Amino acid sequence: MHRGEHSTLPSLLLRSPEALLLALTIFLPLPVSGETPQASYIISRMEENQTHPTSYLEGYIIITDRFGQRRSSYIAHTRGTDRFLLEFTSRNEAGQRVLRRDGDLYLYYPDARETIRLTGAALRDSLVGSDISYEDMTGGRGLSQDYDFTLLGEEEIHGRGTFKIELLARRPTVAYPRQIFWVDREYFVLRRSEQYARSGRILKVTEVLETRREGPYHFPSRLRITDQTRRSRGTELALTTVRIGIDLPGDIFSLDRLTW
Amino acid sequence: MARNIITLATRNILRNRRRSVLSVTAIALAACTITLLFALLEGIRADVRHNSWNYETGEVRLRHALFDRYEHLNPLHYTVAEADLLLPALRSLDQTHRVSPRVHIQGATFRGEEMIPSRGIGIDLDREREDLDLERLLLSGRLPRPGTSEALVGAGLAEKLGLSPGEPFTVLTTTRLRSSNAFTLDVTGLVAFPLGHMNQTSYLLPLETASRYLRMEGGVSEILISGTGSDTPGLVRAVDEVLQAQGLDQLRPLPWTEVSGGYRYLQVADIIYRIIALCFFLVGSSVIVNTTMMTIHERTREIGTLSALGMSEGTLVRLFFTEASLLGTLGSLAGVLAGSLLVLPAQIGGIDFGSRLDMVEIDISSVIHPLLNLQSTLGVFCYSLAVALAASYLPARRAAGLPPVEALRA
Repeated sequence: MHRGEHSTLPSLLLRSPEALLLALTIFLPLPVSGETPQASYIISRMEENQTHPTSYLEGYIIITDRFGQRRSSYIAHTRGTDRFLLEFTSRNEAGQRVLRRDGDLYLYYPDARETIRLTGAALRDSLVGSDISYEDMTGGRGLSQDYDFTLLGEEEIHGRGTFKIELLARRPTVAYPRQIFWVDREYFVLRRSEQYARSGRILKVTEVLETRREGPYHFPSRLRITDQTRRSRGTELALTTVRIGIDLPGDIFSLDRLTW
Repeated sequence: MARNIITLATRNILRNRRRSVLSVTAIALAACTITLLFALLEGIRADVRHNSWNYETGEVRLRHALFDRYEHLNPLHYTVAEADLLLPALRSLDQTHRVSPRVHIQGATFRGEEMIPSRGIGIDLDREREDLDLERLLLSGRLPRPGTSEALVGAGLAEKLGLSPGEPFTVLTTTRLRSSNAFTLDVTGLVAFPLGHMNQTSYLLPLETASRYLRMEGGVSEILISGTGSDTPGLVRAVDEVLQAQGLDQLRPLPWTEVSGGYRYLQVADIIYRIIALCFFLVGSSVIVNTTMMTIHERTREIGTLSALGMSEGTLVRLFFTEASLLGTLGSLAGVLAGSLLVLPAQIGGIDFGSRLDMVEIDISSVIHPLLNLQSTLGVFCYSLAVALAASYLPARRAAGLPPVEALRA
């Protein structure tokens, strides 16, 4: 029943659902009024909220580290379950692109004559020096394919009632063996998440600072990701423009178009 | 009197040739080994200095003061800014022979799905072509042209990446703006850097190209400054005065003796080699002590006779001491000569440590040329002689101190 196809939070903003996602959500098992829903149902609702058939996004990233703060802006196009094209528009990174298609991640830089397909250890590198790793942008099969969910209870986050859900990985190849999500009780939108290593060490914390509603979708529009393994003050990721269900050129996610 | 003692000592030495040869051989072996060790150390010292000055630190390295503090984070934004204004002032100093601006690129190159760390060094090709003797280092291909996206790649790195001249490779790195960038370079030639770790990881590219890709905007990572080497503190002071005159307080010149890993290694190696030398001399000394004591034991009656005939204790000590001096001089001379003869071919051809030093990140070449140094060679000779004399002194004193009656009864 889970059609969203990512494993980690940052890609939530950058991916889109299958075409019939919205229609199929009506067949999900709804909780009886007043009853606590199952963890899998909560995660499904959250994923549906955060994945879109096609979209055009504009936004910015603010990276704060020991050396100061810097801001990068970007535009992104998304389609289907695993395709997105991100292009930086800020002066420092102008023209740099990240393409995700068919589960693979490709980088294009205007100064390079070849695209870089990221695999293995290279995926752990950070996106333009931020707290977001390329690995955060991969995934591909939906949380239910990779994790078992357990509802731990309910907690209040930033004045909002949330379900606290533990995600334990079913296979060792995922980026985070254990995650905890706090999902809004009312809107089924993520409010906070924590990612852990197998040793139990906390790796990343994501705080959702703002959410946004576009049609039937309710999703985070501004959040801060903090890599706990380095002395970072966090990366703020925000969407300033969101257009859902737009027409996109057929070859926009092709490798030829990436270097065009 | 002195001539009589020397004659007598020579006769005594020749009387038991086997034992004398054993003593001379022990001293010679120790002296020869130490001559070799010191020549090797001297060769390493010269090699480390050459490599460090050329590739790592110069005689004085000029960087942003905060770059060293955060070096592990590759803080390119702490640059030597507006290098074009600073370089002429540094070059105009009487003490400077070479002023080499550098831009360093810490990055990764890709071969299929494998990510291989690499280190690019942007150099002023026109100025450094001769300083670094690039033509001699070239294994194949040609040197890059200034301003182009061309590179000379270390043979080891080229092998890892499967590259040969004419082929491109792409590097993913971090820029001065702390963002990422990737760029493609064409291999124009393969080089054999003297340093093994450079061969495995490094490539050279034009300074202006490296600067452009790393968005350095007129800045460089560091400036290596070299003079004659005779007054490094003086060179540091002169550079400091230039910085103060230009109001560049954020830059810090440091002598290579403070920042070179190779130099620090040498300091430790020097102590270790001296301890090894001492051990060799102790072994040699024990042989001398042993042979002298046996000689005295065998010649106790002779000592008694000489004492009864009126030879004073002091003369007896001088006699034995002279014997030891002659043996010591002969052994030391033979050892130093043998060591020098062994060093000479190695000094020309070098000792190839091959790939053993490839991953050692100190400035030692894969091929070391031992170097004979007159001062240290003379030092080895004198030290060998001194140890031989010291080792024979106590047995000689003991022999001379024996009462004549007791000696004759033996």
